[in-house]
Amino acid sequence: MHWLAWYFPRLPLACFAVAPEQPFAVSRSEGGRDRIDRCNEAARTLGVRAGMALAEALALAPGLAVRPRDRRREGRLLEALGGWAWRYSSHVTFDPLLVLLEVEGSLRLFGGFERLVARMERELPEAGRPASWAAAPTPAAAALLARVAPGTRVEHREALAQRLDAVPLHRFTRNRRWLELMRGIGLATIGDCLALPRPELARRLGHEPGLLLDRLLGRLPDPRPLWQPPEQFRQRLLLSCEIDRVEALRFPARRLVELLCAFLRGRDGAAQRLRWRLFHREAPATCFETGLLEPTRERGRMLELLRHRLERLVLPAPVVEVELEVTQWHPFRTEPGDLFGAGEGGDDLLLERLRARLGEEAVRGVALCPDHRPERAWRFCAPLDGEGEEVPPDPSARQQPLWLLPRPQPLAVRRGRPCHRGPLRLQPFLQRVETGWWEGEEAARDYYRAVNPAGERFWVYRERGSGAWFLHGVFD
Amino acid sequence: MGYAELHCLTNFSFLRGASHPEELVARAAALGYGALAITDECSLAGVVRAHEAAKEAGLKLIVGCELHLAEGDHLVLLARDREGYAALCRLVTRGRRAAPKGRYHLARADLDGVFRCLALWIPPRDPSAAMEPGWFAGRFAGGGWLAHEPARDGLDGERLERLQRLGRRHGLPLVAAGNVCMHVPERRPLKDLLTAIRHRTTVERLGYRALRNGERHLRSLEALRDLHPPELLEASLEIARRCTFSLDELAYEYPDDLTPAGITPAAFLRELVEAGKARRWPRGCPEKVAEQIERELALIAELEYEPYFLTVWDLVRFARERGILCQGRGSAANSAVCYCLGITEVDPARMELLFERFLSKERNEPPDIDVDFEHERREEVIQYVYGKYGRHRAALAATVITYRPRSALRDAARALGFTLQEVERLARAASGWRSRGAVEAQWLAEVGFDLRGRRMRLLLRLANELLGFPRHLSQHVGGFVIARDTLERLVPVENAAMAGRTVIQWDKDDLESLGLMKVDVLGLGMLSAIRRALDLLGMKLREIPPEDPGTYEMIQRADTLGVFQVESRAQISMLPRLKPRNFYDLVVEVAIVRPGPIQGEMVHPYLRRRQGLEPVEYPSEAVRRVLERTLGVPIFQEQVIRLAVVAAGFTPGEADQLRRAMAAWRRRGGLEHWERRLKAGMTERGYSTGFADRIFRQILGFGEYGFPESHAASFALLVYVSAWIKCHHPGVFLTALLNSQPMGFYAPAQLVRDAREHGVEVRPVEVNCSAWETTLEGEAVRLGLHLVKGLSRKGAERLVTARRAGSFRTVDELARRAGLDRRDLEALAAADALASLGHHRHRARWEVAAVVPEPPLVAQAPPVEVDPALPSPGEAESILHDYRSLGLSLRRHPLALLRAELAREDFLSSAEVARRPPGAVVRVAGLVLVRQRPGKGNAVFVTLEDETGVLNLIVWRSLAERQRPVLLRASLLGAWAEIQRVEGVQHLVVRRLCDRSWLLGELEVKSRDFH
Amino acid sequence: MAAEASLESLLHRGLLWRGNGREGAAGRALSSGFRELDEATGGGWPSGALVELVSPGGQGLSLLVPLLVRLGREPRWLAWVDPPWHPHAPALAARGVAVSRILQVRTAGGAEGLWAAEQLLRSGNCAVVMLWPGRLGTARLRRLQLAAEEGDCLGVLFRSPEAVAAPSPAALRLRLGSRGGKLAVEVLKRRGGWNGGRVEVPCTG
Repeated sequence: MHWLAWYFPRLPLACFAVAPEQPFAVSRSEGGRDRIDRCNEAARTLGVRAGMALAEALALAPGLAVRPRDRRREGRLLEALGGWAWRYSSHVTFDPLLVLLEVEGSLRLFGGFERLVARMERELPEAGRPASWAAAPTPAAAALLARVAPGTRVEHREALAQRLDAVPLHRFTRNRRWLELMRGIGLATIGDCLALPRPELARRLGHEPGLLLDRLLGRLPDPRPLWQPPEQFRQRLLLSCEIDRVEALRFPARRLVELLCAFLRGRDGAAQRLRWRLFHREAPATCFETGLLEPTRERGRMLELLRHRLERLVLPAPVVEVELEVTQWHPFRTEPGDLFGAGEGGDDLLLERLRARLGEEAVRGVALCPDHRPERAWRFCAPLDGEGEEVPPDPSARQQPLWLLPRPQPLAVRRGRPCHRGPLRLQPFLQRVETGWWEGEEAARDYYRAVNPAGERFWVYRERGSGAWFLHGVFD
Repeated sequence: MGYAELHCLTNFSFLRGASHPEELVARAAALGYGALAITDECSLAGVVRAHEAAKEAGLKLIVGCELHLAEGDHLVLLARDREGYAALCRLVTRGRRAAPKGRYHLARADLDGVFRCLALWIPPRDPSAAMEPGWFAGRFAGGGWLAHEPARDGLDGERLERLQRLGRRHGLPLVAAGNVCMHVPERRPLKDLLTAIRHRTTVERLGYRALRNGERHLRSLEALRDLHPPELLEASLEIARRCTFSLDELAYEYPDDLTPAGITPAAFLRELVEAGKARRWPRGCPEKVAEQIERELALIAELEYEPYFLTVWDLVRFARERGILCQGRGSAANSAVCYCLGITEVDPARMELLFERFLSKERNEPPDIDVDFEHERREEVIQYVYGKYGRHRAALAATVITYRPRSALRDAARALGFTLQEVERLARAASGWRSRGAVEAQWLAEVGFDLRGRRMRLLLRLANELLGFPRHLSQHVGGFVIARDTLERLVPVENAAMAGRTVIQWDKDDLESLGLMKVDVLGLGMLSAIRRALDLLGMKLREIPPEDPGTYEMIQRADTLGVFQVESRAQISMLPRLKPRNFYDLVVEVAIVRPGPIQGEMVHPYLRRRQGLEPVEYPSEAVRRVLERTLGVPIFQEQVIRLAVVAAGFTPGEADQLRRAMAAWRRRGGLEHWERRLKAGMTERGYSTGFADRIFRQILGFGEYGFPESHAASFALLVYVSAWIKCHHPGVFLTALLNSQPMGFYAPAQLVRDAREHGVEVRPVEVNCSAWETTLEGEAVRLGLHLVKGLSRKGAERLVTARRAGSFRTVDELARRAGLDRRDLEALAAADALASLGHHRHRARWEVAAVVPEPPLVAQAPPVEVDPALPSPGEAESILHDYRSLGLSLRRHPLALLRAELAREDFLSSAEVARRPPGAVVRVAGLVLVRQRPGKGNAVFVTLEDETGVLNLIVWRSLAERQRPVLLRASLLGAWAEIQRVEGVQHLVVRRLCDRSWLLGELEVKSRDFH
Repeated sequence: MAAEASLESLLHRGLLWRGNGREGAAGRALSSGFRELDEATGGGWPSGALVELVSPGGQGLSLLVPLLVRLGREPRWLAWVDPPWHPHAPALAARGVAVSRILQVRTAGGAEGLWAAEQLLRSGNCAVVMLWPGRLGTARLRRLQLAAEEGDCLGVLFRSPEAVAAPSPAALRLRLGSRGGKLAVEVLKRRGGWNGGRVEVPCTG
């Protein structure tokens, strides 16, 4: 048995898509206080260090973005990296922040240990960088060495004990009782532990420490479950800060596409339809697909297509999280399937046909927006996008006209009366709208019904500040 | 045609109303309204303020509340008379008690007992919605109206028509109302902001929850005439006429439980006072005091306050019986009657008392006696109150928690859509040292915000508008209200956050305004420590010899670590200059080192005059009599009041109103009137403008910070007593302080170090010697098991009990006999408390780890073990473990171990610094004990400790801001600093700071930060 | 054939309802929601056909509102081709129209608008298509009529008086004018019934 362990120290950071120039850190809660767990280079140059109290770090780097560590996401990302490792061994397993693979059988196939490692390093997706590795006859020893002595390779079991003698125990285990006892009796290393009488140690801590040590040294077997890569690809990246520019989405998207490609290579597959979801803090998610003419696992093509799609995208709200999902993949280099897929109704065809001739923006639906300003109480949207948004109807709108002018039209005033194709007669109906102060220019209007000499009925308002009159709607 | 607004929310409908009650009242009065009803949602918390303001403005106030019932009805209830008011109180109490804090639950059935109230039915906003006022029409026949509340939302016409139809069908008249939530339309942005905060969203996402327009304000009569048919306006006035209740009718009924049958309260009080007089002055009461007592009793009798004095007397009597040390504080110490009753301890014969400060006819408000009890036993007194009067009669007063700069900035920024990171940054801008006053643009610039944008302007404006808005009701620390029969006729009671506690809906200012009685039951740590020390010494408080020269010598040396009040950094640097020689000097000392006198520039003139560097002059004989005892400088509140009387011609009652205005001016302003009167009065009496100006400035400086002399005297007594104990019995003093933790400025480590420097032998925690508390072994102090972190109190008590049968010899025996679990044993081993069992710390830890949690059923010999070779702990490691497990060490100071290393970097010890001349620039380093930034001070004070003593650093603000991370973070702090020595007080003015914490390794030194 | 099949399937799914058959030649009709108008037009709006609303100011939308409310419950579009102003969605929603069904198509006008209308009418995916065309040849109108039949869709043409001199294949032609807050409707043409009926309809908008 020969185990190769890959350690991804920055994985907790990589779960979040962060532009490199943005100071960023993940935190953990320790005894009720938040501490910095890891930080990126930009944060480090500002003096942020692991272990620092969160408040302290924020004092040092006011622009620091911080997210709590998210082990579930780390697990999912780690599994995606498992897809990368799967290519090199059919026995892949995980430890926290570590991918372990049994490589004895693969060495010859890939031309020896050095070549294998070099090749894996080359193909490692960005999300896993930087990584360190170590190899040893037991998975536990490989995992430990990858963390404390990167680049180490121990080939024989007999050499393990000596190699690990001086490693501090706390790098090996998180067992608090064990660590506290060792500190309490003034001892610190794995070697110290091995020197303690085993029955006496077991009497104090139970059998687990002895078991762990024996597995570490290969004195007992360390069975590891065989991992099977999932059938489908689905990964999410949480953004360190909300993104409101479409271009800024390219960075996290790239990460996801890399992981997808590693997954596809591991499975020797190719994908044709990529389903993207952009999650917003308070708005429903934006979903779209990017489809390819034929299945591929080429990163560049996927990114190119995405770029085109993003150019047309209008974000309803800042994005907080991005997901990429591929539910179906194809064996690599087989005949492409039905381009349009099955089950798509004629509705899409109708809209596509109209769009193709009239332009993308010519075909629109409308959605309600809860706002007291009539022109803001609705918006154009992609057809059907407004469906399912729960906006309670505004009873006041019952008194409003069915037609609204694209923008309010100033009215001339003659002899004190606003005119539109003749002087207007105002009816006493009154609605006052004063809102939008948070946007700088707020609306302050009194709305009236008005009739002109021809009997045409209009919806007009007077601006409360200036007293100017505007035509805003037409009654049918 | 007039109008009465009958549906109006204040900001006591938390996050709904956007104006203070006072603002609404003032506006309604200015608009010429016939009356204003305050109808907060299921709450009467804002009515007292409104009542006060209404009296001042001459406006009729109606008390009511708005309710949303479980069945969906939306009503406003208005109290017609005293009985209607009582019904409202009961109803609100019922609704609030039935739901968690901050909410209420009421259904139609709950209104069955509500009589003598008028009611408005508020229709749903959409006039086409279902409306069913049938139940309402039946329940409030003859006293119910449909409220017509035009909103200018385009539906007013439809609405009125619908209501008129409904009214005809159900026989209900219509009345005009406004659904008011702000006094002027300009509060619209604030109202939207509050709504966003309430819904935890941003104003941009409010949608229809934002106001459509600014119509929900108090409209002008002209606008009202446009919107309502005249008969609806008339109906509002008719309702107002039928509501005759005023809060002034709430004559408070004192509890009468305490007077024995067949005797009047006055006679009983006199009896108690006479007995007290005889006890206080066995050789006869001085003439002056006797006169004072008579004057006080006459005034008390006239105002019928006897039951109040008896109530407080009863609490103090209870505490005495239980051996709980207590003392009245504040202005009560101005009363000779309180002294006779044992409520206060300051001998009126030794003091110039000012009874008007305590009780005055002009003020027409009840006396306010605050009593401090031992902090650990205050709960016994509280339970006594509940037990004696019952929960239906006694409840805690509320404290209105209001928006401060930090919370206002945080909530406003969130609602304005700032990102979480920005909100954090903003909150930091207003952190700690900036908890008062307005939010300043400068703060935001400091944390890197560009002030030019619209968002920032809005934030600044709205955060400042939000300041002072109530957020929720909390419980007052100890203010009790006690009613004669039941509270719920008087004021609604609601649930507090703490389980089993209830609070009334009014705070102490409200109680004061209405003349309701309140007793403050407060906790004071030093009383616990003094009681413990007296127990150890077998002495009574009055047996402590007065005016002991040794004690004053110690105080003059500023050797006062641990002594009440004068242990603070500011006090310690003042003592060698003031050199208190007698009790009165202590009173001055306590009062003078306060922000008020410091800002009023009273400290330096007083010091100079005391040292004879400046002549003491008085502009008149009358002024001399007031200021002579403080060398012409007003230091106490009483002196300011007296000055107003003798120099500006105020009556004593007016002068006291001036004092109250002073206390409030920072919050409310409004001193101009007093300033004019004061200065005019002084000029009239021939004082120079310069003198008048100076006195007024000093009054401003006092503001909320000044101490009354009587209060300072009460505190000075504790200063003297604690100093005397420290001076003559340092071991006892240390023991008492350690057992009363947490209290005071310093941690156990410093108290122990200080005691050892005074020659006290301190012995380590040891399983075969230590009790739970720290004890005395002869002269020596044996640290108690309570210091051991992680040791359970129950385990420790079992250990002490088991030890009575003989010492422990092995770990196993200890575990078995004391029934200790492994966690307790590990805590003891970590604290090195098993040394008498022959184990060093490492070995002890190994031994206890082997103890089986459950003792075996059959006693069997422990298996024979192979002993591993364990290293013995080194000194550094031991110190480290000591600190970790006990928070202190009896070994060498950690810095002694680092001295060689520090010396390589030219860091001097504090002893070496003392030998350098003033003006020298030195490098120093030490553990940070305290960081302090007083008030609005321009400097941060840092106290460092090394193996030879403490060093006081001054870090000026600019440097503090520049090196903020180091200043706030370092536990071992280094500094380049210049030595300053003035009159024996040494300070180091810092030029640069550096962090040497890494030298400590993982040594955890707790520093205490005070703001 | 294809149109029949799709119609049958719609009927089967209960998304359309047949007229009561009383009108015979008029075929299926959709109630307008106004009693007076239904009586004057023989049951309301003809389904799968063209309707012309003639007025000087492009009026008539409010007349359609009750129908839009009902049709909006179907999973088909309410299509607007080149309307003169923005349909004010909140006002439509307040009257009960499902605004998420609204499909607005903006074209360069003229032939392009007619092309779009024809596509929409024929697709079977629209319940109603409204358009505001200028002058139209009969041939063009007939194409639209056929498309409406094929897509089982109500086509509504808002037209000015001068644009309707020529005869039209539309199943229903109404002239509109306002009278004291009500809409005065004159039936210019209907299938299988008397022309020239006049009614006043109380609708607001």
